[in-house]
Amino acid sequence: MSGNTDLITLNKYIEEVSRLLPYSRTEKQPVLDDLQDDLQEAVHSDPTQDLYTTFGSPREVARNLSKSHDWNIRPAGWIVRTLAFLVDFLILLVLAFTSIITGLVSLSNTINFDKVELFEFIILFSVLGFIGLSPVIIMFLYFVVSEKLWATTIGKWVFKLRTVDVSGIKPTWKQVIIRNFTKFQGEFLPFDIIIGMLMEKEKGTPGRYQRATDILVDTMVVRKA
Amino acid sequence: MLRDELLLKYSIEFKKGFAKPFILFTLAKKPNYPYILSREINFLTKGQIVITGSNIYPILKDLVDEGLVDRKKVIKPSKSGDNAKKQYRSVYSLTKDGKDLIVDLTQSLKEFVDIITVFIEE
Repeated sequence: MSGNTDLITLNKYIEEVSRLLPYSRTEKQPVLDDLQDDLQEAVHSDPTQDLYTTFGSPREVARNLSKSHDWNIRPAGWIVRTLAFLVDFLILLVLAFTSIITGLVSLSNTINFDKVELFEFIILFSVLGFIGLSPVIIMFLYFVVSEKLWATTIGKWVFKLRTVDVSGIKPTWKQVIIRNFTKFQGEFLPFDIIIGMLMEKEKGTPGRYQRATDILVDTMVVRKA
Repeated sequence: MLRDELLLKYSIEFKKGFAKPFILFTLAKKPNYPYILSREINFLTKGQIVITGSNIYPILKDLVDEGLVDRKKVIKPSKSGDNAKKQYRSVYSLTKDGKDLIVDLTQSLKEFVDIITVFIEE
């Protein structure tokens, strides 16, 4: 190592790669140790080149590492995914119910319904609008944020499922937003699944169990073997 | 498309197929680590075959899956004395199948190069 700054940069780079791999620390550690040795050699052999030039971005490295090791995962089938969705749906139902009750209670404490004025009408409709929107907001935060940060949701976690990029790494914001769009608009979800099944059959890559939006953004749901 | 761009495109296309054979030929000299392997290939081919950084990992995985290359964990030399915790590192080497294939591959490549030489010089 040519200096302390290099060590910091190298560790940050490895940590960034590690964050993109949706596996436990124990599973990742031997792979990351090998990567660290290779990176150290790269820095030693040519200190003028930065890691991005010699190895590519952490996302590229994570993708290559993901493809080059057996992580004991396989595509998750429709039944287990439906069960996971039902668990998530129940959780969301409880959250939405709690949010609506809390909203209504705070509303009744704020406004005197016997003597409502124009200003209070505006507040009333704003709060009612927020209450109406809150299940959508909760759903957005729940699926999109948890899949982006942890590559899973509580329902998926129960069944050892992960949402990943087809290369096996954690998905991007763009990927999780698009793949969860049909969950906001629930009526499109069955079509998303059916079209996905047909597209998969057409492409000749059966066994990945991707919805149409999964195919569109190169994501899939996998299960620990 | 400009002539330079076309030349680059064609060069990349035909060189891609040489990555695996060059990894096998380089591993035939001695077992090695991924980054050193890619650096040696770059050096031996005078920069004609460049396998950048982590791109060598999936290629090595393919070769392992094909039974031509073996991945083994070896103990890393310790810098902080004998009492330090043992650390391991993956090293790649040719299997017997890999060594056998090298013999056939060498012959096949020689014939191919002869044909190309005749073809170009005509």
